[in-house]
Amino acid sequence: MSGTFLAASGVDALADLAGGWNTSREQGGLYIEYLIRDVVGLQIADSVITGASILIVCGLVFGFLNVFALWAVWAERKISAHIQCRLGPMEVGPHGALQTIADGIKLIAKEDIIPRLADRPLFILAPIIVFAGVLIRFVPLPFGPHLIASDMDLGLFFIAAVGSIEVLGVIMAGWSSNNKWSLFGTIRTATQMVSYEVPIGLAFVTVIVSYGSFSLVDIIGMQGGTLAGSLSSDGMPQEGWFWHWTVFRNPFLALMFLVYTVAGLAECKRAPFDLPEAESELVSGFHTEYSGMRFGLFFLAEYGVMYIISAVAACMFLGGWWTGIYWIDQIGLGADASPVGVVFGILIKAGCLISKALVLVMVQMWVRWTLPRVRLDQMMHLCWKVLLPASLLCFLGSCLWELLFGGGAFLGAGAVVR
Amino acid sequence: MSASQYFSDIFRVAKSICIGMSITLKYFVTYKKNLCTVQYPKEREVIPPRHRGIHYLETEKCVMCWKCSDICPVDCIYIEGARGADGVLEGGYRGQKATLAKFTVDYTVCIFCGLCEEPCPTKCIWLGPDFDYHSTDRTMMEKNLLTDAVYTEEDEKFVDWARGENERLQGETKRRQEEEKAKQAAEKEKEQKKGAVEKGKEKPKGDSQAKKANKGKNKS
Amino acid sequence: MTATSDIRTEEMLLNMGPQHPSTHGVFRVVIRTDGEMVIESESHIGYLHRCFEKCAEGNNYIQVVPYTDRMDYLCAMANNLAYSETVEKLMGLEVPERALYIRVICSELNRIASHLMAFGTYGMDIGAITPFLYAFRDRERVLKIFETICGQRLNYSYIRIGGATFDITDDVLRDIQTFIDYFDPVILDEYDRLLSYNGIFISRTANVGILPADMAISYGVTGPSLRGSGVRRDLRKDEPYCIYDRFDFDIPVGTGEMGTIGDCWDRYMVRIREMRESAKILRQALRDIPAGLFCEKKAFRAVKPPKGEVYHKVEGARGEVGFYIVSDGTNQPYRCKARGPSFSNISVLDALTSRGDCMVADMVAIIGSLDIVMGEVDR
Repeated sequence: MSGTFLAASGVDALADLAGGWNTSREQGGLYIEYLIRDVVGLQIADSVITGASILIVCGLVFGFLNVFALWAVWAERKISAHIQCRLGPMEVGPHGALQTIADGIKLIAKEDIIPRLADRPLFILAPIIVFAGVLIRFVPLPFGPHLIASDMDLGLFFIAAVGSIEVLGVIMAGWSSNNKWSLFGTIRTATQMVSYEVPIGLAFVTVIVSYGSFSLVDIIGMQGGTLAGSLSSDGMPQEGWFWHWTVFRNPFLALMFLVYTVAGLAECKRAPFDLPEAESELVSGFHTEYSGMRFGLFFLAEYGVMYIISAVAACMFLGGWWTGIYWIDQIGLGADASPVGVVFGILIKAGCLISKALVLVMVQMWVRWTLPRVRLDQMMHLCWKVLLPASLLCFLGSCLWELLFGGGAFLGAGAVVR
Repeated sequence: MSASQYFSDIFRVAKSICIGMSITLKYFVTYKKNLCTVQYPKEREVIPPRHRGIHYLETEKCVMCWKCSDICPVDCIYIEGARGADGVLEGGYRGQKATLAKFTVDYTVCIFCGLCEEPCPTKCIWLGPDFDYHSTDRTMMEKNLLTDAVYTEEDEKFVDWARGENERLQGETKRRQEEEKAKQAAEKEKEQKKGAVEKGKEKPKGDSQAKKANKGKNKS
Repeated sequence: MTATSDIRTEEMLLNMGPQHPSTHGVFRVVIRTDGEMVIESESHIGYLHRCFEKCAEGNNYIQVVPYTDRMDYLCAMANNLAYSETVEKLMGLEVPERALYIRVICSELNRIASHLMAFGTYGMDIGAITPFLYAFRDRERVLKIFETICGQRLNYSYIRIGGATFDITDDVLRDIQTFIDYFDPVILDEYDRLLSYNGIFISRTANVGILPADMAISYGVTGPSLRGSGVRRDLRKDEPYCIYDRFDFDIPVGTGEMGTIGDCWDRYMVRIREMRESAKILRQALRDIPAGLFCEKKAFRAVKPPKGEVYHKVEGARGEVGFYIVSDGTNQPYRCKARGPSFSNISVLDALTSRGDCMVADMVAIIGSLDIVMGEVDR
C-alpha cells in the first residue's frame, strides 16, 4: 500500500523511508506488543503479552484523554473569560487549574436520573457508544515517533470509518430521552455529522493520494523534508525545514486545510455549528436528560473529538512532529545518535505534535466564542454547496499539481523525490 | 443565485468572520487592562454613599411618628413603644422623645425603595451600604433595628411584655388621673359646700376647670 | 412497496415552556411544527402577573412609584417618568427646569442600558455569547452611574411626582460625560464589527420575521419594533413631553439594508442606532442643564389630585408606555391602568410565525428582536 502512487511515477525511496519509522506494521497489532515481544524479548506466552498490552494501551489512551479534557476544560473557561474581559476560575488551585477536577468530582457525585418513560437500555448505552467511538479513534493516532498504539496500514481510513459510531450513539441518546427537544437535537445532529463527513473524507483522500499512504506515521515521515538529494544513505530524510509540510506543498492543499478545519468544527458540534446542543433553542439538545457522569461521558467525548480532529489536522497538514527547524529535528536521528539523544528527540517531537494539536484546539475555542450559530438549512448549504465543491476542486487541483510539477513544493524548492 | 453572488457571499462572510475574530483576539491579549469583574468576597467595590441597602436607625432621634411605617408601600416596618421620654417604659430603648419597644424591618418584604427616608422629621432612618444581608431561614430575616441584630424570640417576648407593660402603665396613669380628678372634684365640692354654708349659694363648676382636667388626661 | 405519496410526516406539538433559555422571561409558546418548519404558534402569557393595577388602587400616589419600577424592570426610569408625568398632568403641577433636564438625562441613560441588554441577549439567542458579556461590561458603567445618583441599579424609584428624589452633583455629570465619550464612537463601532455586520448573524436575521408596516400599526406595535418596519413614529418627536422638543436628534428607521424592511435585522439595527441618538441627546442635556431646584418639595408630602381622569404617554425603550389614571379626589388612585408596550408587541408573534416560512430557530430570532419584557406584558 505504501508508495503505490508515487512508485508508479518512478520513486522507490519512499518504501525505505516508510520502513525506517516503524517496523511493526508488517505484523500488525499493538506497537507495545511488538516492543515487549521483539525488542525487549520477554519470554512470556503470547496471549498474556497481548492482553497486557491491550490493557496498557487502554489505560494510556484513557489517561491521556482525561488529562487532555482536564486541560481543555480549564483552557476553554480561561480563554472564554479573557475574551470576555473577566478572569475565569480562580478559586480552586492556582488560577483555577484544579477546577476541572472539582467539576469531575461533582459530576460523579450527582444523582443518576433516568426519566421514567425513557428507553432504559438505549439511554444507558448511548454515552458508552459515543465515548467508545471517540476512544477507538485514538488507536492509529501518533503522539510522537514510536509513540502510537498501533501503526495500522489503514490508519486514516480507520479514523474516518469508526467516527460514524458516534453518530449512532447520539441518535440513541436523543431518541431514548423521550423528549421532543432532544429529538430535535438528534435529527439535527444526524444530518450535520453525516453531511460533514463528506468534505472530511475528501480531505483525507487528497492527502492520502498526495503521499500514497493511509498511515499517519508515513504521512508525517514524508513531511520531514523529502527533497531529492536530501535523503541519507539509509533513506532517512536529511532536511527538516517547515516548507516541506503539506500546507506549503501546493495552494490547493492549503485551501484544503481550511476546508478541513471548517468541516472538523462541524464534526465536533462546536460553534458556529453547535445546533445539536444549541443552548438558547433546545436547552441542551440530545443530552438534555443526562445528568451526572453520563453527561460527563458526553462531555469527555466532545473534547476527545476536538483533540482528534486537531491532531489529525496537525499530522496531515502541519507537519506532525517535525518542528520545522532542521537542527532541532536532527536530535536523535541518524545511526550514530546516543540513547539519551534519541529519547530527547522523541520527547521534543512528541511535545511538538501535541502542541500543534493544542494550538488548533485553542483556535477552535476562539472561533466558538466569537461567532453566532448557523441555522440548519444554512449549515446544509455550507456543506453541500460550498465545502463539497471546494474540496472536490482541491482534490482535482492537488492531483493535477502533483502530476504536472512532479510533486514540487510551491513554497520550497525543487522536486520532492525523484 | 449567480456565480458572482455566490462567491461574493462567501467572501463577505469570511471577511466579517475575520474582523470579528480580530476583535476577540484583541480583548484576549489585553484582558488585564479591560477587566470588568472583581473577585467578590476577597475584593469589594466601593459602595456609593446613596446606596439603598439595609436600614440603620438612630434610636435617640426617633419620635415615633409612624410616618416611615405609613409611607412604606409594602408595610414592612413594625414600630411599637411609648411616646414621651418620661420613663414610662423600663427596659425599652429610650430616645429623646420616645421609648421604643420594637422597631423592626422585615427583609423578606422590604423592596429597598427608600421612601421611608423622606418623611422622617428628624432624619433618623436611612438606608445604608450593606447589600448582602442573608440567612438560611425565612424566619430569621426580620432585623431588629434597635439591636442591629436579627429579631429573635427573646425580642418577641420583650415586645409582648412591653406591650402588656405599656397597657398596664397607661391603665395606671388613667386610674391615677381619674383619682386625682375625683379628689379635685371632692375638694371642690367641699369648698363649695363651705362657700355655700358661708354665702348660702352653690357655685357651679366652671368650664375652665373641666378643660384643665381633660388636658391632664391627654398628656398621659 | 409504498408509493411516496403514502409516506406522511406527522406534525409535532412542541411546548416552548415558561422556563426556556431564550423566551425573555416566563412566556410560553405552543408550537405546531412539521419538522423544523413552524406551522402555527400560540402564545400564553400571564405567568408574571403581579396585580400592579390592584396594588395601585390600595396605595397612595407616592407609594405607587416603586410598583411602576417593577413593571418594565429594564427601563424603570421611563415607567417612573410616565407615571409621575401623568399625576402631574392631573394635578397641574409645574416641575422645575433642572428636574426636567435630570429626567431627560436619566431617561436616555436608561434607554442606552436597556438597548444594551437587548443587544446582548439577542446575540446570545442567535448563539454569539461574547457580545452579551461586552454589552454587560458597558451596561455596568451605566448602572454604576445610576447607583451614584439614586442608590439602586435596577429599580430606581428616582423620578417621583414633583421632580427627582436627589440632586445630581457635578462629578456625576462628569462621569456621564466620560461614559458617553467612551461609549459613543468606540464601542458602538466595535459592536457593529463584531455582531451587526457578521455574515452569519446577517444570514440568521435578515429576511426573517418580516413585519409589514400596516400589520405593525394594526396590532398596535410601538417603539423600535415599529420603527424597524419603516414607520417614522417616535413620541419624543411627534408628541413631545418633558422638554424633548429642545433637543436635536434623529429617529432611526429600518431601511431594509440587509434584507427586507421590517425584518429582524432592521429592528435590531434601529436599537443600535438609537443608542447613538441617545448619546447625542445626552451630550446636549449635559451641556445645557441649569442650576436650580430639583423637585417640588410639597409634592413629596401629600399628593391629592382633583377629581378627573387623564392618559399620558411616554416613549420607553420598548415603545409607548402609557398610564391612565382616574382620581376621585383622595390620595389614592381610583383606577390606574398601565399600558405596557411589550403587550402589544408580543401580540404580533403568532401572526409572524404562522405564515409558513418560519423555522424553530427563526422563532427564537423573532422573539429576541421584538425585545419583550414579561413584567410589562403581564404587569
